[in-house]
Amino acid sequence: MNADRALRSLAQLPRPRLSAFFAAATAARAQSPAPRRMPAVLTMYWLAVAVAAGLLVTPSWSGVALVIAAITVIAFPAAVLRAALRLLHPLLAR
Amino acid sequence: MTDEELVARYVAARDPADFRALVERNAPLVLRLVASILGPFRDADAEETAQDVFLRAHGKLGQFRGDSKFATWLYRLAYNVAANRARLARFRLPHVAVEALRAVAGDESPHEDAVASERAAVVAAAVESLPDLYRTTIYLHYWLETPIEEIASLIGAPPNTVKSYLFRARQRIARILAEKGLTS
Repeated sequence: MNADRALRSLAQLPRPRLSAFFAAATAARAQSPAPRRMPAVLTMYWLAVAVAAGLLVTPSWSGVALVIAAITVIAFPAAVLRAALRLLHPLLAR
Repeated sequence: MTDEELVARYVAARDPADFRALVERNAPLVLRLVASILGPFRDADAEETAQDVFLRAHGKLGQFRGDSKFATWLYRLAYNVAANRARLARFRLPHVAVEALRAVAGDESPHEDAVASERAAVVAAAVESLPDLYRTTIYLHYWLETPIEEIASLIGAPPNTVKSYLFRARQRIARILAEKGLTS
């Protein structure tokens, strides 16, 4: 089996198709008003919470580690989840 | 009327029919590009991502200066949106493609079916292990049977570069097949 012959089997896979109303639905969604953004008061509240939490956790090294861990999860959610699954998989298999 | 003229008219007058016309003209190729990045058996995801591409394009139409063709600008946006989606959503486990390829293995004898399934699993894993651009090119060429010129326009590379991607991707796949003892 050469690579070209093997790859030609991909042509048998079903191909995606657009629904009949794709263009109409997309145009309608584009015209609908954008979702409301977070109110300014709520933004200020979360900012204050973040600053307070930062002040509480950063004096200790464990707090700094917690912040770094949180930033890592936010920045690379898929990679972290994959690593966690790999780590947990042997435990779950027991 | 060209896409660029349609964009200019839409930006000026905001007639929804103009935007709809842009979607109708470009949606099939955007879907094809998005599907080639997300991979087979993600039809709903591909359509949703294609819609997301047009909605983002709608929000950025004012920034389109016409330095390049509208299609080129749109495909670049589509590639980025779909690649981000694939990166977040995919765990690169080939089991979906394997099951699917098994389903299309054919009506052979049980022994031949088992061999075909094994081969399908190896081919699927080999395609999934390719770098993003090679995998996209392979899917566009072999799965979606897109002409080389069209692939070139979708990924923004000259046709000779596309041929070179295909050549190198085939080499890698051949190597994997050889390692698994599946060459004849």
